Amino acid sequence: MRYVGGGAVAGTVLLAGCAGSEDGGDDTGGSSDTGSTGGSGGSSSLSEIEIILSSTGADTVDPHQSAGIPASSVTTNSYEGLLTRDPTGEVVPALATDWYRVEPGQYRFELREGVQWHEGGELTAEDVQYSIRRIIDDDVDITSDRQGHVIGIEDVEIVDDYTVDLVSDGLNTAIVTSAASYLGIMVLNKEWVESNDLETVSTEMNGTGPYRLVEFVEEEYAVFEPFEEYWGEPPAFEQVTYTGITESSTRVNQLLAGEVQLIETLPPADVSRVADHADLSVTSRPSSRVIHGVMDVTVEPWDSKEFRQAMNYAVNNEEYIENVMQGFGTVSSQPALPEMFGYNPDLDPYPYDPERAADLVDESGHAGVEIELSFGVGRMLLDTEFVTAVAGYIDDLPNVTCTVNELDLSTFGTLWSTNHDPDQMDFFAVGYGHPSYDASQTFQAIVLSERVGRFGKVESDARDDIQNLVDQAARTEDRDDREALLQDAAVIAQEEAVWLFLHQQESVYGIDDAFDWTPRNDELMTTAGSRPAE
Amino acid sequence: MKDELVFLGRRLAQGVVVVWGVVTTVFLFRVISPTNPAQLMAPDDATPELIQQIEQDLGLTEPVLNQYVYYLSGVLQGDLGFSYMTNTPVLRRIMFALPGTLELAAAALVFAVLASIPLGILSAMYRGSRIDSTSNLVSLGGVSTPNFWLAIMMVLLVSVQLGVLPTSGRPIGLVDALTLLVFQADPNGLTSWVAHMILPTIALGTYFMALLFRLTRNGVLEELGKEYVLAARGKGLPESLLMYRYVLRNSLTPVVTVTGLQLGGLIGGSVVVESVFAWPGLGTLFIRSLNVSDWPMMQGILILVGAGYVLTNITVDFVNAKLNPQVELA
Repeated sequence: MRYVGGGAVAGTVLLAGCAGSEDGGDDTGGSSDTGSTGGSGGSSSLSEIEIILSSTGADTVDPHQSAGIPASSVTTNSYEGLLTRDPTGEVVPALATDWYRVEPGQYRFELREGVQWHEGGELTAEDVQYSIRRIIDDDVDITSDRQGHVIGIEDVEIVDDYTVDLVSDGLNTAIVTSAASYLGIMVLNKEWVESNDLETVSTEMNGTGPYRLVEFVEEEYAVFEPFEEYWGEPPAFEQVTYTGITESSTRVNQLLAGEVQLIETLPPADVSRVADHADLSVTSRPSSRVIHGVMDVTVEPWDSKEFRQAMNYAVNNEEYIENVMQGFGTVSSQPALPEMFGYNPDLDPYPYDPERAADLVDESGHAGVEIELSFGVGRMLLDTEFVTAVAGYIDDLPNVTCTVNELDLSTFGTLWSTNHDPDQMDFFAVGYGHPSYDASQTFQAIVLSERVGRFGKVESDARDDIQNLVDQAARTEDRDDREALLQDAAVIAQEEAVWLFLHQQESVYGIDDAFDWTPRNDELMTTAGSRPAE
Repeated sequence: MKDELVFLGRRLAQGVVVVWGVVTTVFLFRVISPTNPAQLMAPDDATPELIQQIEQDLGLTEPVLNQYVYYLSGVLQGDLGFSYMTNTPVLRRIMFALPGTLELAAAALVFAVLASIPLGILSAMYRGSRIDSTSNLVSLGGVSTPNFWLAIMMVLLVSVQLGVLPTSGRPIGLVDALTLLVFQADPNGLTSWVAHMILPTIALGTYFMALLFRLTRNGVLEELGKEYVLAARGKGLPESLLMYRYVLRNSLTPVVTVTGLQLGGLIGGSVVVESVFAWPGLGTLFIRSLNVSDWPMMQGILILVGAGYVLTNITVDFVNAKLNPQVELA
């Protein structure tokens, strides 16, 4: 049966056949099943699930020490934020039941009462205050990786045991975003953190979430059991295990053999193997990861707007997405993604027009230039394949020569975010996801940021205009006005060709039909809301 | 006995120097490496202040000599530092991964030795027979087949298609499996351990098995052609006694040497096999650390593997000397 998923909403191939063959076997607790002998896939009575992440497992279970998606997939089973998002990205209550602005610099959250910690005791405003201070204040316990995700919050004031005010300097429109992001405010138990050393907080958990950590080995696996006193809907599984397996064929084989129930990053080449299986499905969803080419505007030819535009006209995005990515991607037209607040739906992607591209190269005065498109192998879905295709389109221009430069991830990471030496890398493809669902964060983090972007490194009217619009949006309380400002910024970003706009990456999963789970835009593989299939 | 002690003392002293060399070399690699671990540890949108803070926390702002002295004194006290990525002790992480790799390497070694030596002897004894030609064919296949390909093919056939064995993972270690069996009379742990060991063991041990088969066969053939064998046969020495007491013993020296050296190679060679079988061992840990420039972890693993090589070599020399009196303990 052919896979038909993808597109703007999650597409799930539900295939013929019933859930019912061999189960996952007796798990002794560890990196994989112990008893399943494989062969058929699917599970009969699903009380235990194993989820396979495509990276390594969580490196820590202290949410404030990691801003990574894999670790967050694991930690969000036990730790919760003030707010959260459903799979479509809508903000929904979590530890806070109500939230509103008291005045421009003061945002109030009313906490849920009676929330129990896994190791006993009740959640109070003091825990929330401590957790936020632990993130934003270097003097409180650690220097948190999450500082960049908790924007503009200067302090937290306790109003009463179940009410806190988040204090900002002036209007801070990003507070709800920070409170709802799994990379934002996660609430820890103040007394527990203070009475344990950092190693314990990194390897053990005391949260309020539906599952309690039983066993954890960093970068390998984490095993959870239900927390019976959870305030929300009772957890559906007796055991949840997360394991990190980087080798894609191993993940696929585990799913096909019925040893695990959900695998991340199903390679397009293996889609049919899973889709054709009677008890398995392929499900996908556009991710929060935008794939783009970064051009270092501090050097030639990238300082030329015409040349940057030419690159965008030169690439046939639709063709490579269809043929190389096997349809798992959507052409992007601007830095923001359609699911984000501030996305401009009126902007069409650059059309494929090689003649116009060649003319623009001539206009830029860089005809005959030789360029190199770099990338870190393994960072993006099918990266070697699509980067080669993109470089091929550019190389097909009569007046540009383009080659591909494959780099290992470590070297690429250094050149991207540390070294910044354009002699070594001035044009590179990269994927970047920001689960804030807010275009302003994308502009700040990857267009204007000097560290990971390049466009912000050189003063220009366009850069200032984008910065002013984003700043103005942050000061604007009216939602429609704020959205319009961000959409204006998107128009400038496209016109200036701040990136080589490529595609929105799709998250592709293989799943056991006995497991009812919905993929999310933010790529989080949480068990929240998932159940055994009816 | 005195000779043995002198030999061991001298070789151990040499080993300490070698391990010190390894420690220093891997430290220098870190120093000259162009990657900045703080940058890799920081989130993509981290501020320069946060990166600077991480550099300070990691001690990277200290002079190199100070870093070296701190590190060396830590190693001498059994402290290999903390992982850059997980902020947990390197030694603890290595001790988690080490049993998996040792079990796999040891199982592959046992598989290779048990399969190759009898087959090598039989093949030599019945030279030119069907046994010989079949064994040679298997051996040729063994040395010619890349272990990652063999691993993937076995998983596809045995696990996915036939559903006979699990595809991957190491849910339980040997010690835990035996503990379950002995103290709780529960054989499930051991059954699971065996089931998960079979395919990785074959994948890792096949090349080694083929190599040892050839060494054994050639060694035995060489010995069988010597005059003392002819004389022994002439004197009426029983064939089994001749084979196992004289021929096999004399032909085992290169086999033991290669076996010892290959044990280290098996640990190194397990990287690919561990990856295919999602085996949580040292190889997987090393590659993972390499990808993210987790230098303390890489240093810890290299030191451990270096020390392992040294100890293995000493053991091999010692056993060789015991097997063959012509080899002196010197």
